[in-house]
Amino acid sequence: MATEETKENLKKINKPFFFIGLFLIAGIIIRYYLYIDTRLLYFFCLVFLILSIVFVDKRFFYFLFVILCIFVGALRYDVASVVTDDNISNIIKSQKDIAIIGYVAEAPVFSTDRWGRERCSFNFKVSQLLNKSHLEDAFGQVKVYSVNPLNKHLEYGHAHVLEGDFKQIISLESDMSKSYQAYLKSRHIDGFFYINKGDVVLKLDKKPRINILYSWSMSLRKKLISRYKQLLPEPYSGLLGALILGERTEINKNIFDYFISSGSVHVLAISGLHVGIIVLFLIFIVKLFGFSRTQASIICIVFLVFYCFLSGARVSVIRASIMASIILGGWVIKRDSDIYNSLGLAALLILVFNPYYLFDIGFQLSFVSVLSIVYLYPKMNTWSKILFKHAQDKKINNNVVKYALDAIYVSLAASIAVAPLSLYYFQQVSTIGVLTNLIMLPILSLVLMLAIVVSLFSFISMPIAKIFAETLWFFLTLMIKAAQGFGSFHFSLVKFHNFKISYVLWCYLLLVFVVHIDILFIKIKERLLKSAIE
Amino acid sequence: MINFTREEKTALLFIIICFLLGIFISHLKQYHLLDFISFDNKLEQANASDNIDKLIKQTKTVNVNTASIEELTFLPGIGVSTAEKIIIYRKEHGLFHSPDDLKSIKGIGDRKVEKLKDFVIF
Repeated sequence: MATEETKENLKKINKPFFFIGLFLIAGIIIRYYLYIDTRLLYFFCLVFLILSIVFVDKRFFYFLFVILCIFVGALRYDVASVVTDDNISNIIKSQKDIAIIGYVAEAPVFSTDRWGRERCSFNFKVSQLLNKSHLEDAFGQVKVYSVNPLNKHLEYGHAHVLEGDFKQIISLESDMSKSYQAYLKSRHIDGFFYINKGDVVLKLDKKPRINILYSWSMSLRKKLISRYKQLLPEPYSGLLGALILGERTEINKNIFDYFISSGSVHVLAISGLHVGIIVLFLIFIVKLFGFSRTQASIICIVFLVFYCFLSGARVSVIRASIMASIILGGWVIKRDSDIYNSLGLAALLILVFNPYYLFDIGFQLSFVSVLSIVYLYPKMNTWSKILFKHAQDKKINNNVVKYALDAIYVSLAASIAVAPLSLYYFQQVSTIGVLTNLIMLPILSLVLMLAIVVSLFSFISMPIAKIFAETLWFFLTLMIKAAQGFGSFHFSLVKFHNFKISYVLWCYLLLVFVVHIDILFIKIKERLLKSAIE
Repeated sequence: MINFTREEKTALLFIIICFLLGIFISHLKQYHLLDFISFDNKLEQANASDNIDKLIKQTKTVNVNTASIEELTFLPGIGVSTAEKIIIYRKEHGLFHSPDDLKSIKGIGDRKVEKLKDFVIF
């Protein structure tokens, strides 16, 4: 009897990863705000695991499983927050004139700051520390900022000795400080290292530690950026680099400001929208070469792994790539995938890998907007059907109107959900974002599809790529003009200072309440009817 | 015979349309017929500021009430930890109104304010 009930319950829960992800997040948040001893966490995990195994056929298995997920989340965060004694941040506090020995962990990013200085930043994996002629083992990773002319000798994966000033990450008890520390932790950064002009930057003759996939993707990224520069004039090539590769250092500051003020800066951050358009177009191209849908899906999954590295492995790209891979995988094994389940699995994989990603702005914006779209969009559709019943009766089957309505609902759903976070982190929110998206998103789709064609042809034939690049230039111009036009409205951005984290929570509670108000009305109506009959 | 789906046909047509459009645009560009829509950065900067002094001021100054941690580190004598303190102070106590307000932050004294005042706006 109990087994049948459990089977029925299992049938009902068709979004297991979504709920597991949700409870794992709850566990991480609880541990973030509340200190619990590691041994105690291990103990509770073990107890609830045993209880779940023992009562696997019982009704309250789900309750036990939920508690187990929460403790697993808390334990994962606890283990990730451990800083070992030999970590550089535990060996020295902020100190000037020291030397660190280790490996360049990522391709150095070169830029010119507004004072005209050549700057270079990169992550550096430390293995030894030279402090006052005393050499000792030290581990961890530091973010290096350098204005040294010897920067050009820096090479990804190679061992170096760097001289400079170490600064530890200060910890304050405010929400903002905690969230900044969590952001650094999500990138495994234990401190900052500043190299000044006279300091030593020396390459060592040691065997390099290179991740082949990362190295390939970085060299392809470099090649693509240089090809874009050959094919398009200056502000356009920078914009294209940002749109397709997430390369923000090359983008023109004026253009970037237009995108911010028009509420469309999200198009410059590679997200699910970009990944979705690129994958769909790539599938069509691959199929043109005679591959079946299954083969095209497998090729695209492989491409997505590569694209994650190519676009700088930002959390929004990882999320979108995991979700797209699940959908493509579903096509391969001929099974439908649930969008909530895919979203939950993406969150689960990212947070199990590094729970600090939960406090990354990119993670929060990415997941909240997708969740809001998949949850609010169908509801908005239903509401509009009720509100515009008259129009529906007349059967307006115009595709343009349908597209416009769909775009408005999707954009509105994402904007509503993102607004509280935007106010908290950036102290501003766009008022015309929905309107801008209506124009911007179709142009973005064309730009991304064309960018793939241009990128492919740039390796086959530059003259042909140049012809496609002319069309791309035209669409990019339209994009800039649209951002410029919408951004020129004085009321396009509303600023709000001192927006606290508690306000964010209240906003989301209010949103959930408003969304469920129709269900509340129906229940009240049912009860009134019931009592009237009785 | 080739058997394309509707979507594949659309993708193929899209590529051909873009190719033809590219030829047409390059043709128009040869006669400078599209110069009016091209983005001229210098012109944009000149339009954005009324005079050159304002332009220099805008590009070399940082608004301490809106700047991010990285932007604040561009200021002379401001490292990541001080930038972080500025952001936290701003969040907890509200906006800065004058360079002297920055003295409330640990690590910023009279000398540093003197150094900073030409580079900060409020």
